Amino acid sequence: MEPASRLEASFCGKCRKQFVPVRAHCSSCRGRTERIYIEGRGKLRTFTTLFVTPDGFTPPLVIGICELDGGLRVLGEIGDYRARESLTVGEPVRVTEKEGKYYLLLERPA
Amino acid sequence: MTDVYIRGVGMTKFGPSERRLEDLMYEAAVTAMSDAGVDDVDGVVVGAMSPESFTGESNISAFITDYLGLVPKPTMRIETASSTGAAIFDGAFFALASGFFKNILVLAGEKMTTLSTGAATRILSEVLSPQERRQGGTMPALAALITRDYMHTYACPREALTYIAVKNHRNASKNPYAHFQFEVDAQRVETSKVIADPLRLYDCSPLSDGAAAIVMTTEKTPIRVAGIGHGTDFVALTQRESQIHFTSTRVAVKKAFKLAGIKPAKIDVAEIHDAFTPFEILGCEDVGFFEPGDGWKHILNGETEITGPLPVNPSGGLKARGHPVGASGLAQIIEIVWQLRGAAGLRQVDRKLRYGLTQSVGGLGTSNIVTILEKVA
Repeated sequence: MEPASRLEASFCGKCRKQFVPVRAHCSSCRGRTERIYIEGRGKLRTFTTLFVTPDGFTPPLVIGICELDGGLRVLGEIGDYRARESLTVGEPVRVTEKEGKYYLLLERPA
Repeated sequence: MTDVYIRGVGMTKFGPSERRLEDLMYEAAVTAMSDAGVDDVDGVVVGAMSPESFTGESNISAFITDYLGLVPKPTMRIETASSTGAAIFDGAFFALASGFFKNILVLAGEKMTTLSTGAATRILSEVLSPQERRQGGTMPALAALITRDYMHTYACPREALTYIAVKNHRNASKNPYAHFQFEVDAQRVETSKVIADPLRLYDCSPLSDGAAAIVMTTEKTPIRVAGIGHGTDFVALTQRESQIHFTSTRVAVKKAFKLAGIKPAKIDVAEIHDAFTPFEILGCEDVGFFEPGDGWKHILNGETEITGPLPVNPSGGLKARGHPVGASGLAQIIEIVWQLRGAAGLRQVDRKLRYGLTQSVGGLGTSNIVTILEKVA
């Protein structure tokens, strides 16, 4: 079985708010947050292919925003750039983190 | 609170220029002071987003005040990314309203074309959240994510973005201050290079040089500052309550209309921050001209044309007047002044105008400012 997709997040116990990426203080009450891990599954909310990229990136670069099942949104790279022609808003994706960057993995049948 | 008025305005032509930033700012300042009929002011508020990066200058407010021969008047710089020009107006408004100052020169400029497009794009992207930049996020990339989300949520067709590009180029073709004084057709827009889909080259405002200045005063003139409001939002797009509207604009506009004591229906003409064509739609909805999701329909219906019931961006907007990033917010206000005075030449809205509105977006929605001007005599 595939391992669960765990994402590092912050949680404010007072406001019941979660944050990805982590932040030391709550954006509402300024209180200290605690570290939690959340499930990184959700739906592709929006995406774009950059044909003009900043230094250090090679076009075409595909990025998107995943809306996690809990409602949080995460911006990440869609590594499989060959899929860019067939991406659809709402399709299931899984978020992973590697060296401070997020990647959105398409959850398509093999 | 003391009433605040606009006494004089001035700006340079926008677009690539061989001249230095201080010379562009000098021209805008002396034009505004001449238009105002003053040779002195009580203070100078300077706006520039990033002269440190674009042209390697800092301490710009003291430098410019010296260059203008206005030492020892107080001066300071205010910066809120791409809404900087509106932010200096905001700051000076409250300084004047307090009663401590009588005449303030607000002066904004940016010189962006000395660097390559890549280098300039990098500087502009530095206003975004570090995490989103680390992912390759640029200003057009995040605007594209917003655009696709808006288009999908509200079934907005590509045609609406094209319409705005064509309209704003047509308006700018009648504006001697505009960067692009030529018309484009739909085919040219829709076959232009894809920058970050669905945004094409003609959906994006250009890199421009230029400066703009206004003399603001507490003495009565025909143009009164009726309302002003400023709101902020989280820097990261993903942290915001909405990514298809700017909450910062909604906060700002509520304050501005409250101060003015009027409703959006009273606005006769507007300048909306169309750094990307879809932002004109979002902006029109956020300031309350149209219901969320309906903006594109009204725009495609021709309602925001110069000849329509609610002209939007008669100047050509950021899209075609150009976008010297720190100066655009002030240039929007100057266009409204010209429209209210009946001095906008070939692009003049041809009917009686009383209220005009500007909406300026800083840093992709992190610091948005709305201003309402009224013709009082």
